[in-house]
Amino acid sequence: MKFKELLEIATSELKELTTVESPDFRLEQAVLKDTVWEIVVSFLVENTYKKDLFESTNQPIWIYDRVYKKLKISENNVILDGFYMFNDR
Amino acid sequence: MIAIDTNSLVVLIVGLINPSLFQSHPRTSIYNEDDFNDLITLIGNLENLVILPNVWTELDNLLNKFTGTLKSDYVESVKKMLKKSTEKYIKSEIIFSYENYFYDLGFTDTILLECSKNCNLLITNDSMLSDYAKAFGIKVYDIVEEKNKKFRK
Repeated sequence: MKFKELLEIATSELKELTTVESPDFRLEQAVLKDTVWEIVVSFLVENTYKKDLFESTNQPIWIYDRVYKKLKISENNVILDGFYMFNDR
Repeated sequence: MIAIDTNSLVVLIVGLINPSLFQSHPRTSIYNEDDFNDLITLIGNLENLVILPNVWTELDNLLNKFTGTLKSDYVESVKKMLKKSTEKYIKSEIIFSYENYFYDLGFTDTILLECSKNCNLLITNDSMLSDYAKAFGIKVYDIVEEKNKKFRK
């Protein structure tokens, strides 16, 4: 399965989680373990509270958060149920 | 001068050792030799690189687990890079100037933001750091973005 397919499956699954017009979905990691792809994708979500936070400073206002999600996808293109934690920091 | 973050330096060093190792680590799992060659071409001369001590420390924490000949190759690659690149130290207290961003970015990437303001380019493999750097008007070569463009074609 190619990376493009993995990203498309993940985007289709996660796109409802963001209201940003161009959420910049990205494939960050992809590891094949036996017959299951473990992938990490990122995308932008809006955080309007940040505008209030940054308005008191003279620094650029960035009102988005980048969210990272981990998914497991079988070789049959099926997203496996589960809630997977990912922390790259 | 080109600032470079930890994850990008990982791609660079692993590529110098052996590009076939990319698939062996989650952080480099989507990259291949072509991506490494693009990175080398972009950098041109290793003397163009500015590397924070914070980045060197994080790199070593990630890659010092090699054993045998890979460990020797890793050490030699780091020595070569250290000799040719510029190491820049910025006091950690700079994070107080970036308090709102520090919460998301952490020490190294916040300091890297400051460093990048005085560089021609920031090379990063970190999508969140890339987002913030672009918001600051810093010119960014975003390795993740470039890779995703490639396999979307």
